[in-house]
Amino acid sequence: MIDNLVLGFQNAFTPENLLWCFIGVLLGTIIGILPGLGSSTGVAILIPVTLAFDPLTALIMLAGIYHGSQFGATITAILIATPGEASSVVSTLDGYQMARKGRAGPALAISALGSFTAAMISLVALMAVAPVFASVALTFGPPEMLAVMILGLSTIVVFASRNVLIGVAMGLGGLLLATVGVDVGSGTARFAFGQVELYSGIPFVEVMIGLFALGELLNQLHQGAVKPIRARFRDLILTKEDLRRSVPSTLRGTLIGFVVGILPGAGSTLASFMAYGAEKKFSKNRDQLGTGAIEGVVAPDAATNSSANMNFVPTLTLGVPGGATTAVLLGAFLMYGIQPGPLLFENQPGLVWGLLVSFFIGNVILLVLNLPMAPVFAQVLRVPYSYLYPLIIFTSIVGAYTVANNSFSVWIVLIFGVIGYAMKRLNLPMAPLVLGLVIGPLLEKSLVQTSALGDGNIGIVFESPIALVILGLAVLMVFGGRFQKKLTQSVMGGRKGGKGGTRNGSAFVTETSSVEAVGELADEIRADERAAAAAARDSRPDRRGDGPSGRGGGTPPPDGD
Amino acid sequence: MTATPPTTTARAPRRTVLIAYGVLIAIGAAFAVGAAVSYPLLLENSQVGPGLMPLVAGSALVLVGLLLVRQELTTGSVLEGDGAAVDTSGEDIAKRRRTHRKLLSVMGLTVVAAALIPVLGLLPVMSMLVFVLSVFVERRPWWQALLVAIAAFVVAYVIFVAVLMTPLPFGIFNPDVWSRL
Amino acid sequence: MLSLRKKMGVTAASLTGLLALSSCSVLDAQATVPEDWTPRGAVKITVAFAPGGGSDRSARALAQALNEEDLGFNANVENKDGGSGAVGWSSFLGEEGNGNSLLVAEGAINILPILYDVEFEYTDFTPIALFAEDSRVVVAPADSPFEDCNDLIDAARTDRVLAGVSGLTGADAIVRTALEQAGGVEFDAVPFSSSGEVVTALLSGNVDYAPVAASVAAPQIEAGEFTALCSMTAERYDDPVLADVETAREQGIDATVSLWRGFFAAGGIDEVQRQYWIDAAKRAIDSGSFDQYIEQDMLVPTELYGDDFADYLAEYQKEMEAIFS
Repeated sequence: MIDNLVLGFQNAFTPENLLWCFIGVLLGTIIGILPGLGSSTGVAILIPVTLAFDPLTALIMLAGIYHGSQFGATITAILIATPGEASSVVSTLDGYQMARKGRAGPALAISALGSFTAAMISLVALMAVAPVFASVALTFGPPEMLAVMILGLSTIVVFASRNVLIGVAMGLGGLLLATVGVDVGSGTARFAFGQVELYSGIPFVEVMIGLFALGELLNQLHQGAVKPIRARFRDLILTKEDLRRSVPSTLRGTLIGFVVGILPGAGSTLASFMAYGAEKKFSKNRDQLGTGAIEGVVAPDAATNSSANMNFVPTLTLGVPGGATTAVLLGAFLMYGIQPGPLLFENQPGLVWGLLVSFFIGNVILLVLNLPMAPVFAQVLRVPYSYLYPLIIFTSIVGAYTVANNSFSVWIVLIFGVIGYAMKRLNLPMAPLVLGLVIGPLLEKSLVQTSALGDGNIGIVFESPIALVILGLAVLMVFGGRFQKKLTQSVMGGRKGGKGGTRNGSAFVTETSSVEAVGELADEIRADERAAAAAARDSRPDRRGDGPSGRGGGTPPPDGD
Repeated sequence: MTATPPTTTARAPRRTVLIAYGVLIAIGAAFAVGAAVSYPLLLENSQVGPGLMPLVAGSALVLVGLLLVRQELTTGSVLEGDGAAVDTSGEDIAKRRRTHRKLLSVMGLTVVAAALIPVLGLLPVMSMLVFVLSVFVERRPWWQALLVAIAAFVVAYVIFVAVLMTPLPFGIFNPDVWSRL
Repeated sequence: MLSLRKKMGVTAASLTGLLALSSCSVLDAQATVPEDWTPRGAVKITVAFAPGGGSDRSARALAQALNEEDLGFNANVENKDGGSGAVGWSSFLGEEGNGNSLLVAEGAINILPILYDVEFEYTDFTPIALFAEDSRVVVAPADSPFEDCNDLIDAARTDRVLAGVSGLTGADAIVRTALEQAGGVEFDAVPFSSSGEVVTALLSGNVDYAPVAASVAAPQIEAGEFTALCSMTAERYDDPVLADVETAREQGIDATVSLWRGFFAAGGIDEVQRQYWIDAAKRAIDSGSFDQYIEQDMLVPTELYGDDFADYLAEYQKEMEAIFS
């Protein structure tokens, strides 16, 4: 392996390759920032540009785009609740709340750091034991994938921890929307009403832009008097506390991304959702998730990046794309005259190791680029909202149009913008809806394939030990919390559990976070809310989150009032 | 669409919430019935067919929706999402009307702009939207708004057209159209 | 919420429809096409499949070949994927009369209208050139008991033989049907949504056999991961790895499968424009960059232009109707 690394470094460390790697990650960051235009389209668009290059240089640049877009996608998710890529939907949940509290800088910085750490860990694993992982991936047939999808679906429960029924309802809504389009088993065009654009399903990226970006924008307009967020300098940089809290979350996220990334076709979006779900379940500060907890930003980003790297396991070892972008990269291999397949490592060691080493270089460049830029990007929020929101509309619609070069996408964004707004006003959770929409097609596909494999008998799932273990995890995910809650309830004397208590808690969170949304403009805060905010601040040192007051934690420090 | 008051004690069922649950039930029912009527549940060899997922998920949504309605009618259901919506029920009517008018004009203008994309082109019409929204809805000085709109156009043009070479529609601003006449 | 959504949908649909109509009539107001017509500005090559796939590669090879010649326009590729090609091909209907627009298509354009309720038929577009034929190699996992395609058919008489099939309208589906019809047997199929998934299923032994593209099969056979059972081509492949693979015909199975790949222009274009593109396509297909693509993708080079291509398509349509209806 050392020989190979040396070979890789020799091949990757040429001035030309370094330059194109830099250009690649820079372009990738921009592509990632733009909503709609994703890394797969970005790579496809730039393939013709690279045809004149040496294959390694070309692939290094394209891989740079892939990695850069993972970093960039989170930036707009955090700043303006507009996920740049499907996998950064989850980053909007806590990242955006952090930004509303004036902590956009740390959110962006930790996202870059977490992504970097995850990328490094997963790259070492990728280099050391890719063939081993490849054989693991092959043990995942349709029944096992069905179990994985059920596990993914079960995280809905944690996304709506206080009223599971609503979460389930939203998740089902997502699953139903996902059934629109041509089904994989029979090729029937379902619920398309003759609209050819709907044959490939309700387009996910556009739905996301509508729900999150436009929905939040309309919600902000409704609330009115949106003041630019002026963060003090000390709020722009990471604190020791932030870093301390992020370490376990980063590791959990990396691990989850790892596992999901190896499975062909599961995708980094699923990985990010599962990572967030795991945080809600296992994090020490799980009660703060959703109100701007740093764990909720770093874990999904780590998962996205490690799964993005692990996507290369099937790509390089089996010649089978691990995801949408790696599929395009495989196409690019062919165009450069390289046959991807199981012999790639053997036949093209210089190319493969050069490429892998370039992943390291690319990620280092990304960290160097993104970490100092975090406070700079955070300044976007100083733009008066009366200019910011027209620009968000501009970006969302132009971005949506470029997804498929089609006005249809724009209408989808507008329709789901209104739906998103209604959901925000009613305070219905969006994450389960998106999760249902992501998992729906995958779930149905593995269901169809399992039933075809078992000659109509889905029960073959229970014959697979791997599937059984995963299903067991899903059961724990759904019912584990109950026992946990009961346990805490008995220990804490019912302070946390119970219907009345939870309702109190939720109302409390709603009010305090709205106060924080208005920022430091104390004169705008009505007296009762001021009291609530004060209560939240008082509880700030108590970050363990083991009391109702702890839920308001993570408030900006009270200085400057 | 009025906001949900974040009440802390038991309260009367909220009408908007009930309507929302009703919509959920209707969506579930529509998918379930549509699937049952139009698509086979199972194919030959009893392989899962195109109707199964929508029927099962749709029926489940109807059931969950009914449970939610019951929850709302009896104890008042907990609404907790990522909206962090502020309670605006206490506001005076004039302010609420202003908010509604603003929302409608923003949405309306955006819809008009989207409809004009094939005629005026994507980037030109969206830049115009930025200008119109800033000047007429937000009452910003026109020269400032013009600068912002032009800047947005230039940045987007450089990224999408010059660097990424995405084929964006330019409608009547497409030079090809004029050269052909 | 629902009613609002519905209303929005309806107005959106009618508005876009209206505007599409009006803008077309305004923008494409070209009464006569001059004799010396050449395309100007940007020429869009529509691909009905996702970037990275076979169709996409052919489109990019064409774009590159055209641009290398510096003909006074800039060709760029636009992917409109979805619905096994239905989305892209339907959207190409909107280019009616536009001489500045090309389409990459393959055999599925004949099959889709037979199976589904789509608005287009291949006759809606102007055939320009057929540049290659694609086929499939039938492969099984390395440790499979099957050695040739007859083994498959024999086994299917008594046991359940599982085929891995990507797409319900593509070459994979035709291969399965052709083998079934030739052998008088039936195979059960597990549907997959990409050839990558099929390869994974073969590698993990989830399916008994699968038809895969030559360029996918060759490296796996070379690595000893797959056993080749038979090739569905009329003649053996001219490739170091695949040259040993017998055709189904050689094994006494009367089944060949070919899936054409070609270019179309929009429907209703002027004869001058049609002739221009036929000439341009000839030069592009004979260029080095295009040859490289055909070789990389292990396609069978075949060239047919204009009316010959149209005749071929009419014949192909009949064959597909026989198989799929």
